[in-house]
Amino acid sequence: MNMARSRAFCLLALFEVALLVLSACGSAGAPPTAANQPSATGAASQAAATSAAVQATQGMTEASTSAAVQVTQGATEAATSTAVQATQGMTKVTTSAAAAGCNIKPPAQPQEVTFLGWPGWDVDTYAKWLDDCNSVNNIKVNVRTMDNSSAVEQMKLAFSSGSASPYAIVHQSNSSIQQNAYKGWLRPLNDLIDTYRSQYNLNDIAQTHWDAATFDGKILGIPMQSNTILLMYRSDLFEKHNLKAPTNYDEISTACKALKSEPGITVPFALDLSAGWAWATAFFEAIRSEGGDFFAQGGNAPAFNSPQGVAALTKLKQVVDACMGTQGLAMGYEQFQAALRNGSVAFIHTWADGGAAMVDPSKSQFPNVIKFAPAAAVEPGGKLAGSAWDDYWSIPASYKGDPDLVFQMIMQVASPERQKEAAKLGLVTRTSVASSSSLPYATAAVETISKGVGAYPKSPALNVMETALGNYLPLVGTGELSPKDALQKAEADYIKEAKTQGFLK
Amino acid sequence: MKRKTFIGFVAPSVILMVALLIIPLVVAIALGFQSFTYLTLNARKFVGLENYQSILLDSRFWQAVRFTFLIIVIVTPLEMIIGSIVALLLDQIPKGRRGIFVSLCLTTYVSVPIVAAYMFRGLFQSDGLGTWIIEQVTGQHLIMNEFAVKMLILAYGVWRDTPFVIIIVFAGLQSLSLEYLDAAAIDGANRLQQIRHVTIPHLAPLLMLIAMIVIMAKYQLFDAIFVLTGMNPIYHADTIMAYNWRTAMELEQLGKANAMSILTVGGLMIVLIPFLVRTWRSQTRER
Repeated sequence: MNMARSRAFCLLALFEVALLVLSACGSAGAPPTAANQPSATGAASQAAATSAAVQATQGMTEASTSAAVQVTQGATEAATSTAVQATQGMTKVTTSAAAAGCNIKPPAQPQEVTFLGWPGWDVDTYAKWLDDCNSVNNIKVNVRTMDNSSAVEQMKLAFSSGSASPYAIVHQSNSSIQQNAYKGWLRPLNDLIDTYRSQYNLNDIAQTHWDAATFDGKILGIPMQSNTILLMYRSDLFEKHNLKAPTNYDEISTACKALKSEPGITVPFALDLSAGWAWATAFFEAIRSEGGDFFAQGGNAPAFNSPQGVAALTKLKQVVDACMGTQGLAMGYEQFQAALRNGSVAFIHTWADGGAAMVDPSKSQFPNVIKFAPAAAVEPGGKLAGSAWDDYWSIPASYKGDPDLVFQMIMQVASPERQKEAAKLGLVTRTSVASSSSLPYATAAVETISKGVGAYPKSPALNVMETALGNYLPLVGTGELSPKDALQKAEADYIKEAKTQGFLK
Repeated sequence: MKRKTFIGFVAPSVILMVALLIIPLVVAIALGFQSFTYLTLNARKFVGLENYQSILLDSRFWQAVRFTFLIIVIVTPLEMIIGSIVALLLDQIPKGRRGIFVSLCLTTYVSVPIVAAYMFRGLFQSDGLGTWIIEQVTGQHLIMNEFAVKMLILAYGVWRDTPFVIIIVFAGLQSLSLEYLDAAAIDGANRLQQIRHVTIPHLAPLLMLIAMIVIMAKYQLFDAIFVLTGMNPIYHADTIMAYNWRTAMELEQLGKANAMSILTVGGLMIVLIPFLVRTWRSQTRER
């Protein structure tokens, strides 16, 4: 080998080694997805699931580059289906249980029941039980999970296509159920609930849960789990600095100043402000805590550009400056939940269902010192800035299979016995079970729900409002807009779009 | 060739192209003149050029256009230069050992784009290797602000697609007869002069083709934006495709999204015209 070749060989070898190291390190550190809308699940998503879903989304977007939505939807769905199955695979949970876990009468004709949802303690657990129905003759169960926003997109594509829904059961949050409810994409369940009310003791699920799933008198989902915002904190650090669990945003800012100097702490406090939707959710909780609201009473007129709105946003900005900085703004809830578990964040405002991992020694470095408190209020004495969220399971209106059978399958998962088991992992909706929960954060969660800001508002224009807010509120965090300017711009955008879409005259 | 035989050969691809490209394109053009959301899919309203007007007056669309062009202008030359250099190096080593280098080169390129984007993001997590290197070199903590995120998007473009350039240029080098290089060497040309006066002119048409493909890929960049920005508006890092996604999926303005697609297809054609003309000229000159 001559000199030139040796040099080329060495340079290439260096290039390849660098490439490999970077690939390997990147792979090892591959994080979960960042793109999630809030849901009662509040769950860690999976990169692989997102991968398939984003490909599907990208496929849709690319298709729309050269094709019309209607024409391409069929192809997109097929491509999506293939991509999801190929890349992600159907998350078919193997079952160890026998048919005893699914006490329903076998249908006369073969029925394929496909569930679409997003991962979390609830779906991870419930899917196994749903899968038990595979042991019933003529029933085939498929479970597909992907991150929340991708699942919501899949629903949009499937339901708007005009053809039969490939999904028999779809996971819903307070936010997504609205998008689907006002479009008429979900089947009213009133008849089935009335038929099976006593058999499955459905009165055991509190009316507040049913109310949140009821639109124009139609119940569109079975409440499967509830969730809210909690304050999770390192009690050892708080004791060391002589601090108490903050009860309002001013106390959060004060605690941050004390904890900033703590070794190993990179961001003292975090709440999810990592995306437009996250800002909209945090702002909803803050403005309600201040006594304001998104919508004017009984309509779609905006009410957020108000003194309460400005005050809420100002307080959020104060917390960002005192506690989070640019680095904290980039952290989604999955990241800062992990950061609390590994010791680089001292306290967080986050979804209650992240609590189980905090005290799990296999997942947390501080299982004995992470404690739970109710969500903080924005102002001293105000409502707690934590909303009440539910996750529902719904049946699409365009599903052509047997809804009675599907309803009974959902009930196998939502039975009191199953819910008792589920209550060891998260907050469930059956009163008899929830009241006896032994979860370490149950007390704090119940207090947040009872003294908090309530459920997300119901409006067909909610999506438009969230988008308008999501476009401008993040710019308050970076200091590019003042709270007042951001709200004015968001209001102008909302009014323009709501008028275009017929929500406002 | 008989007319019937010719039609028999051509018909399947023509039918497929009409069904999968022409008809959807025509429908997309039609939908671009209508206003509708997922709620009003079956109650579409004809609005003429309103969607196009709205796009052209939309500052966020122009911001997306600017960032897309910034990616094209910076990433394309970098990919071409780095890819060509590595391909030239690859061409220098013995044939028996090339296979392993070629396969290793392809590791990032053969990954599913979204998975590659997650892998790349992993490098720049707080405990990632990339973060560590940056912190060691600059002495600064890596903060994910607008500048850092945009730099990462540019770096991702180079990291992911350079192997494509390497492979194609390397394949092109295999068609270059050593006799030309030997002749140049006999005439006194050094290695750089051989590359400048023999190799590059030989590869010029191929490089033009690669540039076109790379530009098209950058024009369609979406996955890296989705993963690296989380679609957070604070980074002002929407590409045209990302903004198109936002318009369709977040704003649900499907008519506007279709109009935007048509505009971007037109824009892409304009960007590619100089390349197409040069390629056509070089081809006709060769003939």
